[in-house]
Order: sequence, then C-alpha cells, then structure tokens
Amino acid sequence: MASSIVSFFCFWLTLTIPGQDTIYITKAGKVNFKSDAPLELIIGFSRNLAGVINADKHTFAFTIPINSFDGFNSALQKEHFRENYLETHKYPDATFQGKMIEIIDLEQTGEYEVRAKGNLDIHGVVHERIIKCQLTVKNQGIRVATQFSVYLQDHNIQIPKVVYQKIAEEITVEVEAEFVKR
Amino acid sequence: MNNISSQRVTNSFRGKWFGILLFALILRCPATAQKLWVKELPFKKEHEGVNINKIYQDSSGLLWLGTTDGLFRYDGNSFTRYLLSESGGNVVTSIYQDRKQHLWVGYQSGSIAILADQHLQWLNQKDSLRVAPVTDILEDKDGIIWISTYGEGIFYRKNGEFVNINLEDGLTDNFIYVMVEDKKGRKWAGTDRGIGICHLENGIPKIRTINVEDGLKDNIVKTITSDGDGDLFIGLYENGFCKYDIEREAIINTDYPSWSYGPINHVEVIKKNEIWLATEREGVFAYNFDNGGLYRVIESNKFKNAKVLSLLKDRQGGIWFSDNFSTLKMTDPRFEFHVDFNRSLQEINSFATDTQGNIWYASDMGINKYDPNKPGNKVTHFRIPQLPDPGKVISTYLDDYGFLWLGTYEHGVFRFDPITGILTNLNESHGLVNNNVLSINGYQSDIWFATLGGVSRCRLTNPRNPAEFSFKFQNFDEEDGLGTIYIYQVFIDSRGRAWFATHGKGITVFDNETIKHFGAIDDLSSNVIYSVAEDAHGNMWFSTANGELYQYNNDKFEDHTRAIGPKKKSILSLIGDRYGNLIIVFADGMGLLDNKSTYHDLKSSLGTSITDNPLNAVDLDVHGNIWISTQKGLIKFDQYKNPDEIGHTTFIEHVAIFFEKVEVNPGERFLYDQNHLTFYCRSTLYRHLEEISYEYMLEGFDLDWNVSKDYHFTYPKLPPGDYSFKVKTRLSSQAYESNLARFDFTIVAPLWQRPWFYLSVICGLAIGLFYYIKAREKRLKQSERMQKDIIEFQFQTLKSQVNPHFLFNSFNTLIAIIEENQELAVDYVSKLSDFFRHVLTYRDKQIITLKEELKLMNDYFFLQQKRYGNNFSIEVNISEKAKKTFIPPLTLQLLTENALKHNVVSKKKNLTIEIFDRGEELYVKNNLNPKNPDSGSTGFGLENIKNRYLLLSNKQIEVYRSDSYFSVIVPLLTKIA
Repeated sequence: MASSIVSFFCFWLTLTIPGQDTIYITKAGKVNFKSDAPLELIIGFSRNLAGVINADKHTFAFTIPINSFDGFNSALQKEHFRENYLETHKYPDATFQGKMIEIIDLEQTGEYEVRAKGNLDIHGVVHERIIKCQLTVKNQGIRVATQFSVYLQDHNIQIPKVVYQKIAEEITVEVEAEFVKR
Repeated sequence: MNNISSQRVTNSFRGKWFGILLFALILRCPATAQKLWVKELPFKKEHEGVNINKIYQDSSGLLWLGTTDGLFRYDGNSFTRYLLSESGGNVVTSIYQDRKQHLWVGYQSGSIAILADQHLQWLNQKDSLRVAPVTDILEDKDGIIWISTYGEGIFYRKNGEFVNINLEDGLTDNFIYVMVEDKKGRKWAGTDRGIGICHLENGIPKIRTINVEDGLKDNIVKTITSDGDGDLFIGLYENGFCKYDIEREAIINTDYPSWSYGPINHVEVIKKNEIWLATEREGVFAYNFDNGGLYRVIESNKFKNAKVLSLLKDRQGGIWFSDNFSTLKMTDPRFEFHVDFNRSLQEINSFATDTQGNIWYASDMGINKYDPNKPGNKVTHFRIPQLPDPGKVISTYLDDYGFLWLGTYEHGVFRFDPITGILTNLNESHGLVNNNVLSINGYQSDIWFATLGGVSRCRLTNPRNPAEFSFKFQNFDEEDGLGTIYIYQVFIDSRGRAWFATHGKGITVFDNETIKHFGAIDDLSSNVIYSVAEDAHGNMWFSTANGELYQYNNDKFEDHTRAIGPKKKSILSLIGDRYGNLIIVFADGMGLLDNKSTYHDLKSSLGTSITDNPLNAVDLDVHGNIWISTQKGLIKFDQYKNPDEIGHTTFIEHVAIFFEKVEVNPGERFLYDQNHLTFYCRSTLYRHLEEISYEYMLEGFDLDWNVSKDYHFTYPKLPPGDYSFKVKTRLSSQAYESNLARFDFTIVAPLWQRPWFYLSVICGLAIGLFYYIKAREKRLKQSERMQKDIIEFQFQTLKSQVNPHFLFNSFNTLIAIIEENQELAVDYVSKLSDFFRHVLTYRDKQIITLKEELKLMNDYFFLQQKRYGNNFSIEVNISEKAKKTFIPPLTLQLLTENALKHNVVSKKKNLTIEIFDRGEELYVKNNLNPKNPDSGSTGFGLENIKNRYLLLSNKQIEVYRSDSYFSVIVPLLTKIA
C-alpha cells in the first residue's frame, strides 16, 4: 500500500510540477474484472483506482493496488490471485500512464470518445496499449468509462495447467471513474 | 478411417451394405479448425519463447529473422544466431540491407549494428546515442541512411553524424511505427497523429502531414508498405486500410465501410494490387484492389491471443509469417486455398469446372456456382426444390453443351440447365442401369455413368433443343465383360475410350464398342481401382485402394508404386496437369510425379495433411489450375505459378576437409594431403527444399553434371590440380534453374611433385657438376703444372749439379787432395758419388725428411768445404723433432749453393751459413759479402723453392735481406698426402 502511494505521488509530481496546467484527479475509481472461463466465472472489483489527467498536456496516469481487489468465488481463490498469479508482494500495483491520441477540450461539456495510449504495467510486465475510453465532461468534472481486455500471456501471468479451464486467457476489465478538477 | 473400412469390402458384401460403406467413404468427418496449407518451420522447436519480430530477405535470397533474442539467419536448414551483446539487449526490431549489401540491425534498446564478416558491429555503443527502439532503417535514393525510432522521431545520417527530426521540426509525433520511402524519395513515417512525409530540400528537412482531414480513416498509422511501383498501402489502427497513389497524390479508400477486424499491424504486397493484412487479433486477410475481394487467409488463435508479428513475401512467392508464440510459418504460392465464410466450399463431394473457370457443385443450399475471380461474394446459389437432398450429390459433370449432370445416391441422375434453370431427372425407369451414380463423364453427345449396378452410356440427340431432345441408354454389366457391377469411376480419355475403375476386377476399357478387361490376371496385382487419369502425353494412370500406382502406355502396364516412395495409404484421386505431371491425392497428403518420373512430395508444402478427402473430387480447369476438394475447402494448385521463382539463389555454404568445416575463400590453395573435400550447398528455394535437385560438377574432375537430391557433395582423394566446383539448383527437372554458385580452388602438389622443385633439383645438380668439373680441371691443371715444375726442377737440378763448373771445381779439388791425401781423396770421391746418387734418388720425390736433406746438405758441404777450407762453414742447429718434419728435396743444398754463388768466400771474408729451426720454420741465414759484380743470378734456386712450396702447401718461404745478412725462412711441413 505504501509503495502504491509513493508511485502515485510520483505520477502526481510528473503531471503537476509545471504548475499552471489544469489537472483532474480521482481517488476512488471503480475497476471490475471478469474471467469468463469455460468452467468458472470469476469477478473481482475494487474502488481504489487513483488517477490524474492533465487536460492541457493530454496526459494521464492511473494506479491501482492489486490487493484492493475483492470479490472472487472463495477466499482461497483470492489468495491464489494475489500471491501466486499476480505476485502482489513483488508487484503491488497495476498502472497505466500515457497520452491521449485524440486532442479534445476537456473544459467543454460533452461526451467524447478518446483513445488513451500508454504503458500498461501489470505483474511487472509493461505492454503498450491503446485503450478506447468514453469521456463525459460536465460540471467541472470528467467521467471516464472504459472496457478492455488483458491477456495473461501479455503480462507473463502463469496459470497452472490444472486450472486452465477455470481461468480465462483473456480478462475483461471495466473502469469507471469520476475526475474532479483540482 | 472410412477408407480403411471400404478397403475391407469384398465381393461377399452386396447391395445396401456396400452402398452404405461407400457412402461413408464419400461423406467425411466434420472439419477441424486446423489450417491446411501452411508449413511450420522448426524455429519454435529450437527456440521456444523467442518471438520473431521481423522477417527479412536479403538480396541473395537469404532469410534473416529479427527476434527477441538476437538476429538469426535461416539458410533453409538451420537457424544461426548472431548476438550483439552477451549481456542481453538483443531484441531486434528492424533489419535492412543497404546497397552495399551491408545488413543493418536495429534493436529495441536503440542499438544499431552492421553485420560484417559474420559479426555484428555496434554503431552506437555509447549509451547516449541509444535513444529509443529502432523501428525502421532505410537507405534513400541519395544514399542517405534514415532511421526511425519509437520515441525520438527520425534520424538521418549527414557527414557521419545522425541528425534528428522530431515534433519540434513539425513531425506529427516522435513515436514512429513505420518508415518507408516512396518512389519520389520521400520518407513516410506512420505515427499516432497521421503520416509525416519528410524529404530533404537542399539539406533541410521538409515535412508534410497526412491525417484524417486529408481523408485518412484513422490517425493512428501502424504500417505503410510500398509496392515499389508508385502505390503505398497504409494499415490503420481502426477502420482498416487504404492505398495511396503517388502519381495522383491521392488516398484511395476501399469499399469496406465497416472494418471489424481491428488494428492492422502489417501490410505485405503479394502482387500488383493484392495485399495481405496482418491484424492484431483476427489473423491475416488477403485483399484484392481489382475485384474488392477480402478473405481471411490465416486464422488467429484468438483464445490464445495469437498475433501475427511479421509477414513477408519472399522472392519465390512464398509467404512467411511469425507470431507471438515463437511460430515461424510459410505458405506455398502454388497452392491457393479457397474458403468462404459460410463454409459452402467445404466438404464438396464432387464438382466440375466450366469453360469460364467457374466451379459447379451441389450442396445443402442447392446448386452453386463458385467464381474464383469474382469480386465480393463469389458463390451464386440456384435453389432447386425438385432436387432431393442436394447435399448428397456424389458425382458432377459438365457436358460439352453446358448442362450440369448430378449423380445421386438412389435418385439416379439429374441434368441441370444453368441457362433455363430446368432440371431433368433420369433414373432406372428411363433406362439407367442403376440409381446410385458414382461417377459421370462424357464426350460430346455420349454421357457415361458409373453406378453400383454397372455402367450406362446415354447417347443424346439434339441436346440443346428441348423440342427434339431425346436420349438412349446403353447398359453394361458383369455379363458384358465389366467383371463387376461396382464401378468407382468412368473416365473418357483423349482417344474417346471409356475407362472403368472397378471394385474387385481391376481396370476395364471400352474401346471400339468392345470391352477389354485388365484384372489381377493381367498385369495388375491389385484389383480395387479407385482412380483413372490421363497425362498430357496420353499415358493412362491407375491407382488402387492399396496405394499402388500403374501406368499404361497403351501397350503394357508398368508399376510406378515405388516411384512415389514408401507405401502410402490409399490413393484417392489422380489427375494429369497440362505440363505432363501427374498429381496424386492420397488419404493423407498430396504429391506430384513429374514427366521424368521423379516424385515430389507436396505434403510438407501443404503443411498439415489433407485427410479424408472424397474420391476423385479433382478437376483441371480451363486456365490449367488443378482443383482439389478437401474437407477444409477447395485447393487450387498450379505447379508453375510464379514466374519470379527464377530469382532463387544457390550458394555454397561451407567447405569441409575430411568432413571438418574450414574457413576458406574462393581461390583457396589446399595442401596435397587436404584433398578430401565436401561442399555443403544451399538454395533459397525455401518452400521447395524437398523438391530441389542440385546439379553439380567439379571442373577438372567430373566430366559432366551430376544430379542429386543431397545438398552436400564429397570428393575424396583429389589429385593435385586446379578445380572449380559449380552448383545450381532446379525444381522438378523443369524450369527455374538457379544461378550458378562456384568455388575455385587448387590442390597444391607436394613439394617433390612441383615443377619448380624438379627444376631447382636439376639446376642444383648442374651447378654441382659444373663446379666439380671446374675444380677437377683446376686440380688437373695444378698437378700438370706441378709435374711440369718438377720436371723443370729435376732438369735444372741435374743441370746445376752436373754443371761443368761444379764438376770442374770438384775435380780440381780432387786433384789437389789426391796428391796430398789419397785416403781423403777416396773419401771425397765417395762423397761426391753419394751426393749425386742422393740427387738422383730424391729428385723424383716431392718431399723428404729434414734429416735426409741435412745429410744431403752435409755431403754437399763436405765437397764444398774441401774447396773453401775454413773460409766456409755451416752451423746446423736443428732439434730432433724438426728433423722428422719434411722439406722439398735439395732445398738446403740449393740455398747453400746460392750463398756460395753470390758471396765472396775468402780468408778475410768467411761465409757462414746458419741453419736452425724455430717452431715450424727452418731458418737458413748467411752473412753477406756480395760478389762485385755479382756473377748474375738466374733466380732459379729461390723461384724453384717458392713454386714447389706453392704446390705442396699454403705456406710460403720468406726471404729477408739486410746489409749484412741474407736469410730465408723455409716452412717445415708435416707429412702431406
């Protein structure tokens, strides 16, 4: 937890140091994931997504502590998820930071679809991703919603063969966060 | 599986049972998802976990693989790795060969290296120069090297320095996915914000941007490929792809309004206006700009998140691709695999091609026409409600009038007119021999039907005129000489003969209205014939259920089973192509027997095996393509498809001496004992490696070309000489001869066999002989001279000794003595006689001992002393040792005589001669009282002694003369030969 705060602070710094830019932040974004395997459906959720958007530079950063995920079908499953598959003692956070490809005016009320391109770091393996997001700008705030897939293979997440049928190769992730102007 | 059960069918099975089994043979198991025509190379097996980011073919045809763990060279046999650094950082992201044939390698770490002499040389080892992943390297028209990076824009090399072009210069973005050069020399950089088009104008970079505002369907440009001929193909992150026409400077979008196959990572130009698109998640698609046809050529294993990482069309037309599961695969352009999305092209039991190249077949949908060249939807369905169970049509034939004949199981045969759509049924009630029609064939107005109840011939009258159309069946069965009533195939050959492939009774032919039967009793050992075909040379071919293959050259049968290699499972279909080759479809693969009876297995070209194909579902279309129906779709095969096949390269990979690989250069000189050479050769005909024949010759040894399927050639015990090893490859003993690779070398003769050695030996001998002769001559001359000297000496001595003066003096002395002392006189005479005797004795000798000489000298002294009395004395002081040494005879006598001759000897002027030895020299010294005038010297005495010494030894006499003394130093000789 401590390290996640530190890393988040780092992102914060990189995004805020210039001082004059318009910054939006969130501290309790929602993240749900779903593993829809032939033999088992696993759902996890967390409300601990922290994020920053620099509206002037069109950059962003998100971080979430993996251990904050709850749900699962059993306590043992949750433990396996943390300790064996995602090795949270080594890689406590998942992060995504980068830039927005479409340049939009985030001061302007409206609904936008932008592609966020950045480095997705899960399980210590960084993968460059372009993720399509829905942005809703109103009342000095931005609502960000997105859905994307994470492939276990991309992030070197090893699953024992015996649970192949219980854990999907492709994990669906849903994100929803309300950003407020700082 | 079904084939095996059908093989077990014997004549004891009758009627329905047999029909069901046969039916099971024709209908196969459901398709699996396995791709058919792709060959996987053993890269994954050897390098599991290493992904190939880039496949590149250099100008010699060699393939280079840029992987996550180094650069690999693939020579058709093995993968050779080149590492830049032992400590990691070997992720290759780009490969490029410049015009000087240098291979540039770009790395994810930002490193750039050049491969030279089989070693990677780091161009920018300094960390500060390695900035961002290198996405592309190219040498432009002006010879300037350009490098695109993912994060730091573009660099170009100017005066050895790299100059940067980035966002600040107006570039769309610093993250460059791809960079290519167009025909006009402009560099196109694909980025997230459109395409930046750069060129140098008077050395200053100029940049133009193309993005959505210019008609691009997405700003994220992931890939751009140039066809080298004025068209660029652009692959986008979203919304597909487009073409850019350089001449018209215009974006040409395709008719695909909603591209739903995700990001396009790579575009490869396959031929003019045909591209292949590697997508992120959906496999590979082929798109043709001429007809707008788009079809998926390579499926992606979405479940496993498989992505195509690199796609390359090699110069032989083979298409290579790699994915993120370490896979390296290759396709064979001779094969085209035709599938459509509603799968109606799969599991076609029978089909026929028409004069336009369309393929007609019946399926559950009714009667279908497949036009391979039609854009968009290529299949036209004809819904024919009258046709019962169209999916179970088991034979198809298009007659010369354009009617489609469909043979069914239990419903006889249907004639379909594609123009009017009219369907006519002919069955047992119309005179057909049996309602189960397995095969239909014909010639003009005669249509033949092979059934489970014999053979029918239907003779048509006025077939195109419905009003006057009539037909007449003529039936043949066992009794008519068919042997059996179960006929798998009827085949009408080019001479109009009808051939019948029977179950159990071999082959039967109907010729000149008579039936001739060839069965087991004749030349055929097997009697279940599945297939009949005719090749372009008019030979007939037959295959059996046991996998045997026979040829009938219209005279006799010949068994060709062994030509096709190890015993195969059943041969299902045979068909001849227009080049004289025979294509053979097996239950588990496919092969080609060329017109020189060389067999080429196409199984590995096909990749995975074809399994459970229907019997005789093959046809040759008007364009010369062979079509084969498989459970996975239709295969189109054309043996001589790609004319650019000519561009393949043969090279000599390495040379071995006694099977040990050695580093050699052309022109190498091998020692006489290194005369066991092996040449390992390779061809860049990667996709035909099994089909290649090498033709090779060692000039200077072989008299003619040898042909071999082997790729290494050994020459043991080569005699010394100049050689030139030449090798080339060819395919199917037909066209496509490659370049000629050669290696010149010399086997050096051993030292003792080389001409210069002979020459020098002869020279040496000659010189030796010359010197020997010369020396001998010299020696002869010397001895001759010595002989002469000796003779002269003897003569002179004699002359001097018997000179009258000496005798006169001696006699005068004697007279005086006789009167005074007779006794002394006797003594004197005896001394005189002794002296002369000694002179006579010694004159022949070269040397005598000093002792003897002294004795001689004493005699002489005695004789002279009697004359001179006490006025003349000799003091001899010689050591005993010196007395044993040698001296030329009469030396002392001569010197004494000389002294007497030149000096006054009187009471006042005594002459004393001292003789003594010092070391190895003898001193003869006398006091000087020269006669005045001197009586004259002939110089004979001293000169004679000198000469004799010169001949005898290298020592010389020395003569010293002072005012009062005259001395001669005579060397004393030890015994010489």
